[in-house]
This record gives sequence, structure tokens and C-alpha cells, in this order.
Amino acid sequence: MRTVRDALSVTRKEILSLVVSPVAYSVLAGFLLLAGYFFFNLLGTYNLKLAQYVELPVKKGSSIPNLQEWVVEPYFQILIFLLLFAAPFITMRVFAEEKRHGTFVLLSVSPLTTTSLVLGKYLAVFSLAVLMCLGSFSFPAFLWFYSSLEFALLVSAAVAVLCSAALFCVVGLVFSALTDRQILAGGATLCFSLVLYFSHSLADSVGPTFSVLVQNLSPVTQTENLVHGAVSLSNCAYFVSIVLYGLLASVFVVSYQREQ
Amino acid sequence: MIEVSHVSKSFGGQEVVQDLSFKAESGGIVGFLGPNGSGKSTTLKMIATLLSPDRGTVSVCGFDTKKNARKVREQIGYLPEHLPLYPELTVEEFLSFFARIRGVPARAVRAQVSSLLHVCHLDDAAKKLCGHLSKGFRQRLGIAQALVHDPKVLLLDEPTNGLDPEQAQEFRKLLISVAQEKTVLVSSHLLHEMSTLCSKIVMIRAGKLVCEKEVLEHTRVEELENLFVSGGQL
Repeated sequence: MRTVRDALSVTRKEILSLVVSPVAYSVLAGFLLLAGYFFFNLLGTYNLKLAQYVELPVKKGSSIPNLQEWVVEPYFQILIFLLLFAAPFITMRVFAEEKRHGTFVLLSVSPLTTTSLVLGKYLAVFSLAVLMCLGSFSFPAFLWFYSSLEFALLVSAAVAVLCSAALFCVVGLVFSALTDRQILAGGATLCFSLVLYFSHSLADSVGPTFSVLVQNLSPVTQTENLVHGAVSLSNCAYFVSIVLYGLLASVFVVSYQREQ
Repeated sequence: MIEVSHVSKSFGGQEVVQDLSFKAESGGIVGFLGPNGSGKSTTLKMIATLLSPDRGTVSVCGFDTKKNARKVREQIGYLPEHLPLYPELTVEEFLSFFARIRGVPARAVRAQVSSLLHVCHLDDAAKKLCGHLSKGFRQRLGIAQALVHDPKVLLLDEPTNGLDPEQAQEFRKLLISVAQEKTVLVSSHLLHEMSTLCSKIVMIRAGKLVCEKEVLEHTRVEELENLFVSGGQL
């Protein structure tokens, strides 16, 4: 109980710091701007396809372009890719700044457990990521309101985006815990996340033994079903386990630094 | 109460603290004296659980700093030599945060912070951002954050460094007013300050204890000065 209370105190303080941070507002605005741009671009393409379908004689076997295939699925996949670039900006400061400014010393001499500290910081950055995601979900929500899109499909795709956000945030947390330089933490988070994201494309070149492993390491593979509306337990287990491992790694690193 | 027993600490093969032993009882201010680089800050960091001793033991209120670090942390308030702050938080937010993470019950946080703001003469600065505070106010905030959970032990590392004489005098008054019923260990190299503030001094040089002495009313600054210069050999 005390661990949770302390973690929430840390989250509250982190959110107070984020509220006055120009970086947080810039990332939030940039993310929503890009999300909006891609959404309206996809919608424009869909409208064009629809117009072509209506105007041109219908070919045998061709079907009416649907919103899910032309707008919703690619939009949520783009959101995941955008989050990969946004996460380093919101996570790079969490521990690196504390160590750089020396406030880590004050946290270290407090009876706060390392688990509370890590959990509190993670909750704060994840909250910001959720806020960004919720803003970007407003575009497909409007689409759902004015069309016959399935709500369950949107929820499933939104879960895919939130899971990816949780993953990229934990990667950022680990790298921020490892260094006292924000730029280094941000750069390392971006590189690691990119490698993880594109790992599925390396599956063919690593041989049959590791092919499946490498293929399944990528969040692209793991979110494929979710974005298509199929919720799978194994996909959720992948995200939960990565987040837990990331949190454990951060606790281990921060504990070690506190004891030094 | 603080008990340092046969403690040694090395950095890169150089022994910074060597077989150091002393005690600080509750109810008075103990001055931890020594020239710059004598190992004062390192010892304070070991007491504050920020560093582990290579040899020997440190206990605070009966809890070993290695085996019961969390219990020790609950008992201590620590003011480092250079107080780090969260510049984006107000003084009130800063103190409330430390009150919460140091176990002050949620319902008591507001009252505790408000009382400390008054005790440390920070009422007018409560809504100011920490990043906009002057040196004097920063030190007051430093002692307020160290006191926020009403600790039994206060560790202050060079607390009057960089303060002008008026601010230093105000700080000493503040320290005396809060020091009753607590164990206060103040590290400094300012003899005059120690002679007016402390009931006991522990003097170290090159990481070794050179003198442990009660400061009586008739103890003169010159006497301490001679001890300091001669390395405790009088």
C-alpha cells in the first residue's frame, strides 16, 4: 500500500514538472499535428478511391473500398510508428535529469523504495503518452460517429497503440536510468526502439533457428492482429512481459546507483 | 543517535576515511570539523546511506546503515553541500513532495508544510518557483526539506557556505531553534561558527579522527583554532 502511495506521489510530482515543460507541449502538439496530417491524407486517398470506384465501370470481383482497410488500419499503424519517435522525448529526462541536477541524491536519502520511484516515473510518462494517444484517437472516433465502422475494431486498434506506447516508454525509462545525459538516453531509446520495430524484417536473414524469435520480437508483428480487430492473448502477453522486464531492469539499475 | 565505528572508505585506491570512530548523542549540535578534503562529506554521505563504508559500521538510532538502510532513511534529514532543487516546482510543491515520499500522512502534509514555511521564514516565498530563489532562501528551503518529516537526526553538510554574515546568523538561529531533541551533525571548516553553535566538536584530518571535544561556555575560538592547526596535538 505504501509502495503505491509513494509511487503516486512521484507520479504527481513528475506530472507537475511535465505541465510546465515546453518539451512536453511541443511533443504533444507535434504528435497530434502529424497524426492529423496522416489521418486526413489517408481519408483523402480513401475518398479518391471511392470516387474512382463510383465513376469507373465496376470490374468483375472488385469490391467497394472500405474505411477499415484504407483509413483505420494504416492510421493506427502510423500512430505506432510516430510514438516510436515521441517516446524518447518524453522519457529521456525522467532519471537522467535527476542525476544531472543532483536531485537524485535527495530521492536516494528518502525512505522511498526504488520500486515506488521507478513505478511512479513510469506512470507519469505513460500518462502523457496516453494523453497523446487519446488526442489522436479523436480523429477515428469522429469517423466512427459518422460511419458504420465497428466500435470493437477501433477499441482493439487503440489497445494496440496503447500497448506500443507502454513498450516504448519502458525502453526510454531503462535508458534514462542508465545515464545522466538526456541526449544519450533519448538517442539510445530511439535506436533500440527502431531496431525492435524493424526486427521482423531481419527474420529471413538470421536463419531458421532465430527467425521466429526475431519475427515475434517486433511490435509490428505483435500489433498486426490487434490492429485488424483480433485480440490475442499471446500479443498482450508480449507487451506485458516486455514492460515488466523493463521495469525490473530499471529497478535493478536505480537500486545499484542508490547503493553506490 | 549516530555511532560511527572503525569506518574506512577508499576511492580509486586512496583511503579518504581511515578507521574513523565517534558518537553523536541526541539533544545537541555536534560540529564535524576538518580542512577541505579531509573526508567530512564522505563520512556524512556514509551516515546518510549514500555511500557504503568499505570497513566498519555506521548506525543511526540503532539501525545499521548497510543492513537497515530504509529504517535509517526514515530517521534522517539530510542537507547536502550544494542543495539540488526542482526549479519548475514552487517552494510549497517541493516541500509537499518530500513530505509525501518521506512518509508524512497525506492528511498532515498541508499542515506540516505550512508550519515549516513559518518556522524557516519561507512564508513569503511559498508560491515562488525554486529556480528563482536567492542563496539564503535556498538554504532555508534546504533545512525545511530536511525537517519536513520531523526526523530524529539532522545531517548538514557545510550549511552556511556561500551565505553572507547576516544570512549565516539567521541560519544559525534557525538551526538552534530546531535542534532541540534531535541529533544534529553539522560539517564545516568555520571554527567561529562551530564554537558558537555546537555543544561538541569532532575534528578530522586526512580522514582520521584527531579530536573529540565538548565545547564549553569558556571554550575560546583560539583554543579550537590551535587544535585545528596542530591537528589535535596540544
